[in-house]
Amino acid sequence: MTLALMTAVPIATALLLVVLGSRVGRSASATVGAGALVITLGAAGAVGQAFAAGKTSLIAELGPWLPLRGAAIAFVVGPDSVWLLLAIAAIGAALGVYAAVRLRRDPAVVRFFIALDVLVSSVLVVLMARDLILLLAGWQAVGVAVYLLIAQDRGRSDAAAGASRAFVLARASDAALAIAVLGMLALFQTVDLAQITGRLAASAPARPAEGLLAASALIVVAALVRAGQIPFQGCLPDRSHTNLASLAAVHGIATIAGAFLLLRLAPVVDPAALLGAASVGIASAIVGLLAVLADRRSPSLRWFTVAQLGVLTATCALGSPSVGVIVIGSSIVRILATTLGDRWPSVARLVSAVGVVAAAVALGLGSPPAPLLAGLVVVAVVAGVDALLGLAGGRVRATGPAVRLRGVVGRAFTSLESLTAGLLQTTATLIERGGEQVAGTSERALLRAADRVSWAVDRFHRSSVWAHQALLLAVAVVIVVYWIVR
Amino acid sequence: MIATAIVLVPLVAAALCLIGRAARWSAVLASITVSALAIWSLVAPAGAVRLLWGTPFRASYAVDADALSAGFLCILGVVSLVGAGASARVADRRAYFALWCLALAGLCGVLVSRDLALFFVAWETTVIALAVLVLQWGGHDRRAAAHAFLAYMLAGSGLFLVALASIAVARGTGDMDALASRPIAAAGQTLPALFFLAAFAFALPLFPLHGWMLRVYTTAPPAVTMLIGAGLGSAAAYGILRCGLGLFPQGFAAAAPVLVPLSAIGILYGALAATRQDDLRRVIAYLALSQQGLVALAAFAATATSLRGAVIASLGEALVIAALLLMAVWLARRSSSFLITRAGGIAVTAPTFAGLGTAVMLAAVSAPGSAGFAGSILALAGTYERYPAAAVVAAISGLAVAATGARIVRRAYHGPPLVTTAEVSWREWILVVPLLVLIIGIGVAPSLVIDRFGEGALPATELRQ
Repeated sequence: MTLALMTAVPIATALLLVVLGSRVGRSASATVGAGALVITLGAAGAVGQAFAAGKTSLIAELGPWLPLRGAAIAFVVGPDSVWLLLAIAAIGAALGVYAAVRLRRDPAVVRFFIALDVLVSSVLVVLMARDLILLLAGWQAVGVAVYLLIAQDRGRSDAAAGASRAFVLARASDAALAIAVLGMLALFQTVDLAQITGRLAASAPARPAEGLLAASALIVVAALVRAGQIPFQGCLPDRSHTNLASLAAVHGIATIAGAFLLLRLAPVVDPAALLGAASVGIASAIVGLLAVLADRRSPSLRWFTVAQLGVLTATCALGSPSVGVIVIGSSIVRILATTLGDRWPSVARLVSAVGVVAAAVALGLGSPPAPLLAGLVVVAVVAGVDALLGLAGGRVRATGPAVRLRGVVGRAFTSLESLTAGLLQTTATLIERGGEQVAGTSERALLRAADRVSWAVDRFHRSSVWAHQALLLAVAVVIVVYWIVR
Repeated sequence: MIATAIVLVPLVAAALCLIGRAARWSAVLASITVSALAIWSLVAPAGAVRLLWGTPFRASYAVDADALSAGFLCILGVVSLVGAGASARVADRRAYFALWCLALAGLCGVLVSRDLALFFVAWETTVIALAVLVLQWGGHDRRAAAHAFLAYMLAGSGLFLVALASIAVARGTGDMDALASRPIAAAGQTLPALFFLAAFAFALPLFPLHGWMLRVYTTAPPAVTMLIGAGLGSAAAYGILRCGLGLFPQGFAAAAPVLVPLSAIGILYGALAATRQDDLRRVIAYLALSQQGLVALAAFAATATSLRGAVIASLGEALVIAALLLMAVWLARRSSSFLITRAGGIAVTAPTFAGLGTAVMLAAVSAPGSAGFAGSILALAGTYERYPAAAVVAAISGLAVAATGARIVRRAYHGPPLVTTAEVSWREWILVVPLLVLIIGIGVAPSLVIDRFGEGALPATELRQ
């Protein structure tokens, strides 16, 4: 029942705020919204205490939901996920309390708490769902919550554009996961994760390779999109899109859901796909850390999140959730410090870098394949340099070759960011149909192509009316012929 | 008796509309009564009523409101209630609401009929009443719209009548239950299955038979569009399930290799075309085409799961179309146009209205917790068993629907305000809340509907396996 409470309280509070938020005032709404998250943290603490007292798993089954084999509103927590559960509940509560104090008079505070409560509840559902359908529902709800968080400031067009872009990308990851779930259901005739794991174990090594590999690849793609890994890092919002608390929620909670997906589904995902996810994660971590190092004065939060989530993705893909707690803990320190206060940049930087180094070392000790090990060494070295620079604060001045190297690296990452941002911008422009955002000739060419498609669609529709008129004539003929034959 | 009452109440209301002063209230009360009776029959099924009607088809007055019918009736009553409530500013109210109640009675007759002749009469009554509503109360292009609507519907009905008469003469009865218990040979099912399908495929509509749709959606009064899109559309889905798949399962199985790709193309076509529209009514028309394509796809896949998905998706889609049309009307009232380019920044001056619009749009993109999510998951899961490629196309089409939803919310509600608008009035709350409650209710607890389907409520899918 405690597990159900953890997800039900924030969702119920969000619904309450939807109905009554505008009537009870901003302060009361903020208090209620934050209170729900504190209750969730308390429930998570009770779950943690139960595990500390010797429990090995907790299950809450509320009842059936959809008429699919294994689909029910049921949650399960094991020793692997209990620490992650506590971490998410703690971050949610901390962010809620911060926002209740700092955003008390903000006009968007009710909307913020609705989105934050939905977000925390959804991520917990992803972490605790017992079957694939409930997990898919939680996964899609995370995308909705991210959309609501980014679109906080309704008077700003750029915020809405960023929210639209993030929503469409989120739906892309939703579609990938949905198709993967359909494939899993067709392969195993159930959506219950424990049953699928059991059948895979029973049939090993003769796994149904083709279908499973395709479903696994789609699961990995969905996770990488949500975690903002390369080349999808452009979907992560930056400071220009929304307020700091929403930014912290998206970077600190929503992106983690991508890694959680891999953690939850690792037992049923093909090992080759997991290795692929870990490789992309480590590559993203290296690129992100180098990008952060290249721009020390005002490092991009987006690249920092890419780096941290890269390590976390690799951790979850390689099946080391306890290491993931270190990454989450250290990255949260930095995300909160960077977004909410920026008061202790050196300390925060040191803590996060040490966390990445520790995670990389721990993963390296787990004897991964050689290329991954090499990548982890690079991650540890770059993060170590970041830690030392953080320790030194502003006292270190780069000179000579270091400056040139930093310049080259910085330009490389600026180009990479421009490329992905350009692609996303083009997509958004095509979706938005407006010409006001079009900057380059390539975008204009794509828009022209889309307009031609639109013209063809309209033309088809007009011609189809005539086709239907012809069809009516044919129908009349068929009626007469049929009667004669009868 | 309940089934008879469900048909009689709107007919009596139609008569009251003509002679009394409170025409709108008569329509509203008739709609509420239909929903209440449907819920009653869902809780306490009363069984079928059969009275011999006439020769030579041995046509009978056979009606029954079983769980499948009751689910559709309940949603139809709510949609009719909302539509009648939203028809506040119509001219010649008596005639309008009398025709409205006649169309409602026809739809109720379609949903409770157990005899093919009675079904046909009810179907034609609905079509003609709706066509007159479009013709008399539509916009500037109403004559062409009504002509197109009637021409397409009657073409389908013609084929339906041919197949109906042939089967009734050959079998000596038009009773659906009797025909279902003694199905015709598998080899001879394909042609009558396609003839039966014709009537419903035009009304659903199934791609590429949607030629009437845009003209009617942009010309008819939005409340009438609601009754056409949500009422007639879901009745067509019911017809496919009850008359089509119920009587000719092998015929539909034989035609499935053609029908399934057509449905998948319709889903994709509607979703993509919607992204390029500025007129909200056209957006809704294309979204409806896409959503109805999913219903058709699930029905043609004809697995136990997909049929349940088709029912839930159809009910949810009817509610969402009604909610979208309501929001479109209110947005147009506030910005003086159905074009989203004329609205903008409404969230700044009317944040609650913008929040409501966002919620409806999330329901339209099948967000978790909505009826669309439950329906689409079941429909896709069932379809994937037999036609994985079509299910994948349908799942990917959701991306274009999401892009459309995000674009409308961004253009209409966000950004600098172009117009100063009023907040949601209490009248608007009364109309939209039942729709949202049902959308969420079916999404959270679809088993409330599905668990009521007893033996024989849905077509027997094992025939095809």
